[in-house]
Amino acid sequence: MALLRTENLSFVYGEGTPFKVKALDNVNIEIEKGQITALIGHTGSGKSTLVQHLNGLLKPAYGKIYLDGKDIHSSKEFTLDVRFKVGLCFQYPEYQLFETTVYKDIAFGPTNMGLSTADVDKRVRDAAKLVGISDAMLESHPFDLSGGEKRRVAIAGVISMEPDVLILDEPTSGLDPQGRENILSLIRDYRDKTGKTVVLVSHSMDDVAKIADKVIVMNEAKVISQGSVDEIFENAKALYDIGLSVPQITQVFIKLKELGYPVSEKVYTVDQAFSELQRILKGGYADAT
Amino acid sequence: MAEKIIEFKNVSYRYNTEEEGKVLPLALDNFSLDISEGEFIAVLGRNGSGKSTLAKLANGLLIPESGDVIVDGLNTKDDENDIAIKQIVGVVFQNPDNQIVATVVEEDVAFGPENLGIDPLEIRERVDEALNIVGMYKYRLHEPSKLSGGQKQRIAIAGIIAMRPRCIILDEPTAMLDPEGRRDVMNAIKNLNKKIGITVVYITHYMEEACEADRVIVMDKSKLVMDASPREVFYDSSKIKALGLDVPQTALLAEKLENEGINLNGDSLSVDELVSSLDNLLKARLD
Repeated sequence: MALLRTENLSFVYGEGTPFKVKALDNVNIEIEKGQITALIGHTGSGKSTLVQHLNGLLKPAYGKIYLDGKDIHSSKEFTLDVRFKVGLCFQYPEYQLFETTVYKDIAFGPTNMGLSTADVDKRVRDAAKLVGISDAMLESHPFDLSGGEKRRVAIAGVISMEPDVLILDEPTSGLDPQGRENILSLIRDYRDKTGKTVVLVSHSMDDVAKIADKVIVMNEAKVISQGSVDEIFENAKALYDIGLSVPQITQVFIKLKELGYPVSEKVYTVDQAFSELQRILKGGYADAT
Repeated sequence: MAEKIIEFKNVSYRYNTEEEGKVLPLALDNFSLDISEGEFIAVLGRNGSGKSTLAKLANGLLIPESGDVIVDGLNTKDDENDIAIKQIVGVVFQNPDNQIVATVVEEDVAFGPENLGIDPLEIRERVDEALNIVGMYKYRLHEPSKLSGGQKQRIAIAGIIAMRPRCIILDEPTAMLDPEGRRDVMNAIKNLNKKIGITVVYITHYMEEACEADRVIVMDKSKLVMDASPREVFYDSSKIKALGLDVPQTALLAEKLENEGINLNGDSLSVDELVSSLDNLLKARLD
């Protein structure tokens, strides 16, 4: 059974005004326990609205959200509980650092959960370790850190609440290539070490192809496809057409296919591209399908 | 050889700190670079390598600690050159929200030329022209805050174009944009360079954007470490990785094919280039 599931979820901004916009239209998704699920879509496709429903920040106009089989709005207490169980890390989270030391910033969440000082301390240290923040750094001022370090501190602030589901909204945006790579491997390690569930919101298929177990594609308030990375890339051109960034190499193969070559669009790594070219060169037109 | 528009001559710069007794390391260290009129240069380098400092020194927002920055023969150190220099070199920054000043798109674009004391009739002409160049003319009466990130960034670029600079420096203009916004901004910039001949210095973390430039410079630890064509820069993938950068997949594929004895003729860095060289290869092999 899926850990987190939505059922016919719909949401409208500005209901009853001339500016009414349908942000979610009959969305049915399933997020499996222990997997990294990527939610991708163009700006305005409804991704952020959807994740804000997943931890109860927004209440659905129609439909339901289930965490572990239980409707998250079944009682006020449970809705509150869900806020801690589903941890949401917003885009550019480093802008939300506000404490005087890194330690205090990471401790803010667990402290508000009413944990003892000893428990808070353990959680801060565990979370810091998971994101690669050293003990020495815990005492520094957040503003003295580099951009990539600040982002990791902000993520630790959510991880320290030990949520069952960690949702990250565009965790790599604005970082340099090394920083992007670091954040992605941090997310993978976090999942591997804790076995927890991760939802990654992104508009970069490049990032998604590297770490996701499952991909959910949204466009104009609807889920248009969901499946494994391979399954999603079966129709890579559709991803490009709805304004997503597909890997360069995928773009090359989409264009080769348009030129009439019998190649697959399901190519997103250099190795795949190389074997696909070898296949064509060896097989020629005759046996290629 | 085209005329030099910006020259960095052994430039060093360091930021001040308020902490007493503490001296920050050099943000730019004995940096020299000649930029010729009409060039499209991409600047790469990891965070903190000195890229943004370079942008701010180029139009006199910062003044070198030692060395000189010469813009069209004018030294940025001399106060009386300040206005002239800022008219020659315009800068666009990363966050579009910090660069919009007016509540109507065309008023925002007019802000620069108004401050230069240009005749109102000419301002009208310049604003329309600038908005057309970035493909935002039909939004001229819209409210900037209601536009997407990519649209706002194109408004910011139009605001610079309306001042008719000869060189535009863009500091990660697409970092906060979605893929579609990034494509639109990149197209607007290529247009500026190729059709209008404005010199472009483009700072970015996206390798595929750097592939569009004529020349790529790479910064590391406050110094210039590479200065070559995109093809040459990305040729050595291990060196590029060591500098904290990525190699575009297109270059990696070409490298892999070459290792297997398959040589692609011609450039294969941009998607279109690689498609056409693969097209040639496949045609020749499959016939």
